[in-house]
Amino acid sequence: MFIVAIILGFLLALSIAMYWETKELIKSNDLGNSEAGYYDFADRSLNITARRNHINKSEISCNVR
Amino acid sequence: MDNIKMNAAGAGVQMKCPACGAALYFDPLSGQMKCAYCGQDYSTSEVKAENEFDVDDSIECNVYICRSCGAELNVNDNECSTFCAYCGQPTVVFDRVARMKKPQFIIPFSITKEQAVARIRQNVSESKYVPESMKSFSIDKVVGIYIPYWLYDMEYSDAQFIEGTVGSGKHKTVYYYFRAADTFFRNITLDASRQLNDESSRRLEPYMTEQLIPFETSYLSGFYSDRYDVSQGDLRRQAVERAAERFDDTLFKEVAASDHAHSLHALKKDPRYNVTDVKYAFLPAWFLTFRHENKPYTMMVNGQTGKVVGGLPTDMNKLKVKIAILTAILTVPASFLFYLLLDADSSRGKTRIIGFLVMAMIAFFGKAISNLKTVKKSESLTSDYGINNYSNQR
Repeated sequence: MFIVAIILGFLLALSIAMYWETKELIKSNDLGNSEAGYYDFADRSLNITARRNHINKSEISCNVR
Repeated sequence: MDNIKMNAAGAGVQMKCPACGAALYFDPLSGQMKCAYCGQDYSTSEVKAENEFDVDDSIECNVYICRSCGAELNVNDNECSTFCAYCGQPTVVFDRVARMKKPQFIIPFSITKEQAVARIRQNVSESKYVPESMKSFSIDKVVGIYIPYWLYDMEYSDAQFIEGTVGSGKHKTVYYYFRAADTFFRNITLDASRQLNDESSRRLEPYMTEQLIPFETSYLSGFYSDRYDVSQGDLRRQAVERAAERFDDTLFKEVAASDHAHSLHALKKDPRYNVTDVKYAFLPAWFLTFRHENKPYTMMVNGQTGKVVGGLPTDMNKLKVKIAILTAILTVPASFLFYLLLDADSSRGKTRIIGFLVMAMIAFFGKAISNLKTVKKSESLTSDYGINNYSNQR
């Protein structure tokens, strides 16, 4: 049981360490990727003309407009 | 075959090649409009679309050929090239004058060459994972290039039936939503150069397009510029895809906020769009080339905002050491946790927690591999032959 606990503990630790370090690696070496976007409409809100929550599934067979 | 078409008023209108601005003639064999100068073929509708909004003037650029390495250098009119930007030899000779379609707008460089280099050096020196030998890298070449872009204005509307989930585990419920919305997208930017790959140019964004100003040839002084070789018609589909992507993202965020829903996807859509305007513009970028282990890398800097783009080489040994240290630190508490769980009496509870930890372990491994692939892809884009060629040929 002790051996199994060590193996599982090692694997969990390795997975966390790999995830953490590769996340830091992206921040450090992959420059300019995360902020790629479209400035002009990044903060542009949509003009919502119709809004309905929790509709019946049967209504989906209707035409959208 | 003549290259003159008659417009509605009966006046002669000469069709110009979208790529080089030279006159087109109709080729009866292919049924296409053909450029006598650069040899490109176009459908008549494509040429019509290109010429509809075309300003009827163009600018000249001087083409130099390097006798040493054969590179072709495009230099703006009134300037001359005295050395080859590719091999550095003073063996360039004037070859010809080429015509280039004049852009309607431009964003001039506001980041200087020194600022661009300093920003890249700062990023390299702050990186914890680049090889030590790279920290003091020597620069092969820095060139400022105006990249040709098409800018699309578009009215976009859609009505969607959306499926989403509220809650989790045993308490999750699937709901259906309906939304209809419209918006106006201004200046969706798409690079019009075939040589520069789309992924690289997309990473250079965003450009602050409210700073676009009418084009003046004088802004090109001291910089290289590229001619567009992808027509605005060819990129229209990509512009619509970008608009749809942004529209759906914003719409889903609204649904998520209104009902705490997640895992949203559209079951039915009815998108409609209308491209109201397409503008041709030059946007600035610095290209910095250096070598590491005999492999060329080209980093880019947005010439307006100073955003640095590119994948730096990774020192895998450094990465392995850091992972090993962190693993050693975490193994003790993680093993102790598993020992307590395996030793516990409640078999049902402990199985559930161990199962959760194993799932988390698999998820962490999966995400780590995905992160590594992202970094490798970014590095390969930076060391890609195409992007090096893009700057080296200027």
